[in-house]
Amino acid sequence: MLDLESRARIVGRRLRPRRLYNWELSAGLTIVGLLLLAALLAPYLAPYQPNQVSVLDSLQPPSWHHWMGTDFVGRDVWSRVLYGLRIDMLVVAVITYLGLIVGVVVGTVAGYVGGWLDAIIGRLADTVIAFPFIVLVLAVIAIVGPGLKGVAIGVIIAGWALYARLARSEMMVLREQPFMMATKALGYSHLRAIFRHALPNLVRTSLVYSTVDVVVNMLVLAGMSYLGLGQQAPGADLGSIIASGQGYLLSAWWITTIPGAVLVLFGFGVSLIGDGVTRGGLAMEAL
Amino acid sequence: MLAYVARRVGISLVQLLLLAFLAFSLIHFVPGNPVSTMLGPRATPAEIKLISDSLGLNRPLPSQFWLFLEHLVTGHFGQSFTFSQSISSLIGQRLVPSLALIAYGTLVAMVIGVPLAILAALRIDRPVDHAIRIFTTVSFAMPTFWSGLVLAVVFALKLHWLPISGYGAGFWGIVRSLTLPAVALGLSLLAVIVRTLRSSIRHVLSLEYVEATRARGFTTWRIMAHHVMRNAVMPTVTVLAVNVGFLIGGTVVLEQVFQIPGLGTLLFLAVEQRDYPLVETLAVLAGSVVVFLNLATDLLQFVVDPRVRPGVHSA
Amino acid sequence: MTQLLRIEGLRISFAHRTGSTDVVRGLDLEVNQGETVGLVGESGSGKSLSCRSIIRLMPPHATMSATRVEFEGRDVLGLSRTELRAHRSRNVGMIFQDPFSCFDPTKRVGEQVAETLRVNVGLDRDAARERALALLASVDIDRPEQRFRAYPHELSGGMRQRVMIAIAISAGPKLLIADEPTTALDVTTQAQILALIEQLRRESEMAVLLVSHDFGVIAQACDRVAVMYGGHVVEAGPVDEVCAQPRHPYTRALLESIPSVESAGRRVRRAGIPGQPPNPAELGPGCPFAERCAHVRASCREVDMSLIRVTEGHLTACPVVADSLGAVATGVRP
Repeated sequence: MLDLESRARIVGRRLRPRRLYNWELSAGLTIVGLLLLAALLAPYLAPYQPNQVSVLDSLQPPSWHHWMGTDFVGRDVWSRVLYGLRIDMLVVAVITYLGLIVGVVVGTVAGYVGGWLDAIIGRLADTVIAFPFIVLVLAVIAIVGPGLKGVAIGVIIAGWALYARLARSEMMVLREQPFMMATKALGYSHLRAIFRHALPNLVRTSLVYSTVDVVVNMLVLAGMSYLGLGQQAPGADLGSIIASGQGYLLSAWWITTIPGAVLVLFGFGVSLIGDGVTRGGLAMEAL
Repeated sequence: MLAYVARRVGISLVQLLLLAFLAFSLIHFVPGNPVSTMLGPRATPAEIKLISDSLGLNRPLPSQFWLFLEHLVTGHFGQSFTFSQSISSLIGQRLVPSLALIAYGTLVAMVIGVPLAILAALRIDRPVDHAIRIFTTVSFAMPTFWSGLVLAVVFALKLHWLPISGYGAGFWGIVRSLTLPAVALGLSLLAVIVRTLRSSIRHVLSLEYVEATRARGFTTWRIMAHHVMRNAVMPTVTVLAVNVGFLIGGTVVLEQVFQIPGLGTLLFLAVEQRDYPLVETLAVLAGSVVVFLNLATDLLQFVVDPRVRPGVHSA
Repeated sequence: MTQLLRIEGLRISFAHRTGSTDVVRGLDLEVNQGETVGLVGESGSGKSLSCRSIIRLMPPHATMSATRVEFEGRDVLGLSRTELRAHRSRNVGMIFQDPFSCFDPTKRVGEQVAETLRVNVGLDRDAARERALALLASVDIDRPEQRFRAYPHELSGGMRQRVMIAIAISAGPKLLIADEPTTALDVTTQAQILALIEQLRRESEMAVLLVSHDFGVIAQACDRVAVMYGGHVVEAGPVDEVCAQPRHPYTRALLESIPSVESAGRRVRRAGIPGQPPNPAELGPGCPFAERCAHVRASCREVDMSLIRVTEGHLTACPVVADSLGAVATGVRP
């Protein structure tokens, strides 16, 4: 079964031409693009109001009228998923990229300036990274109070550190590069040197990493909402919809299963984009 | 070597201190007054002041921090005001289920992940490799609470193989009750293990000494088991230690799903009840576990890799 | 002399993004029992890959094909996986250029010798240890018990190469492939290792295929030599004869670039030959040396390479030189 020799097979194994077509990227962009479109067009796509209660229609299985069935008070799951996806995607995008901006700026400055500022920021970032992510978010929620605001603050407080570490270490390498030396020699100011010339180089790495972060943040957000600490009733997001179906697992599997599958699809799509970008990036280097 | 160990331990101590400082400063620098959040909107200023005083929140910050540190170092974490119990005894009661779940989840991830990683590394860029990557990507994107629920529906509610929730008695009772959450936890960790291990196996396979063992006519099995894995696992162990934070996070949510009386449930209750001393303590504890494990793996390098040990047989 | 190894029409190519590149393009080679044959050429000439073809040890993305690869009359290309393992473990031993990277860094060297004995010879643990110690002693390692317990990084380069040799000869192979065995070593150690290989060859009557870029090493150690250039053997024959009367412009240039053949251990200075070694991807038909050759003719770039007999056992691929000697093309393989 495990066969090292196959790598050295003798008689004329034709190596397939290297794929130039990056299926990961295309598939990922398609999935995420469709989900994004669905979220943006939620008001037009949703056949019902997400919070429209109709007790007579409660716990209906998926049908033509209710594609994803209805929940225990007869709300249309498909409509709720659309609106839930809308709010989740918005929140995740905001918290991930706010964290990225904060982290990259802090890390870049630290790496460029060096000295004690760098030492403090570096240690601080390491410490934040050492904290279990969800525990930190929970601690923040304990202070700020439940709701999306608490989750958002928590995720940003926890999330900036990895970007800062990435940007800082890249900046330290970059600082010694000839073109950065050149900006100094040309008499550019520090800020100009950092923002015009170094930042574009640093941001690329962070953007690639952010594809992982988006998935993780989405899972954390859903988890917090599932625990009742994120999106508050009656507003729906995917995590809270899943939680609302937990009591009906046997009689109405669709309430829990389908929103979760949408979450998985989103995470899968974003990860594929990340893979595609990484692969594309490596291919560039090889050229 | 001693110098290295001392330096490494020093770094960890600094990190622990910063960790405590961070947990401490959260309460003071994050928007929102913890005491008024805790007491709800109908609390009078007098009540708020009373509770704040009892928590020492009106003392100067440095002395508050000092007190907090003292508590942490001595292990006398103080009293939880929602459970009216000492925090240390609360933690003591709930430590084992959480540790068991984390260990079991890691085990599941290893049992599934290691063979997959080996297979993927030996069949790099072939259909099997792609299939494994898609599988692990999907498992990574699954919320643990959701996969836990799905597993519970299938294996507990439909098939009745395993209990749906709770924490069993006796070794096998515990194993049975923790199996579903451990699988959910393991699935979320799978991607990390498979990816790291796959690339480090791939690296080791490209080394010359592997070619030399192949030239000796050894079987693939022998080469993998005796010569490749030993040198390929260390990066994965390091990554696992880094990801313990991730595991702890998964545990917090999963303990809620499966009603396991562990630290995760305790943290959740503490957050819900705004029991700050308890939240603070649990947060520092969780962070310390990560710091200690990172330290342990770094020191483990010495045991595994003779190259970083001082030479005894120098030529 | 009995023939041990016979390679005909060996081609090795690397697959890459846009297709594949032939690195070895029709190599012929023969090794008789008990003799030492040198394979000499610049880096990139395909010599290391060629010698690996004997045990079908190809790197990823490389494929080999050949009209014939026979070892003791058996077709190596047709061996099943199990037969191939037996072939690698018993018939052929191999040592490599860098004796450090060829060891598992986390295992004691003695155990690596003993492991080979357990697996390939079938000895039990104690017997393997015993025999490993004897082997270490036979490759002139003093205090074998102590070295047995050393880790690879704790040994010197020469010592490591000795252990590597011990592993290679542990199953009593009929052929020892030595791929640049002395390149990573200093001059004194180099001579010792070559002497050790020669001594072992005489004692056990195994054949040696010595691959090197260093004509000095080859001249010192070999009976016959095959000169490789651009994936071809361009000249082959008895070492003395090839050195005294090289019949290919490349061999001539190679020999001229070393001050004296006697000064073994001196490296070939590539600067001595004008131009660059060929890029396999850019080679067309005809003689690969044409670009750098002083005697080039128009036909050199068109006619396929084939070996022409100069004297009995001495072959050249250069028709220009052969013409001047009045030799005729033969079907005889080197």
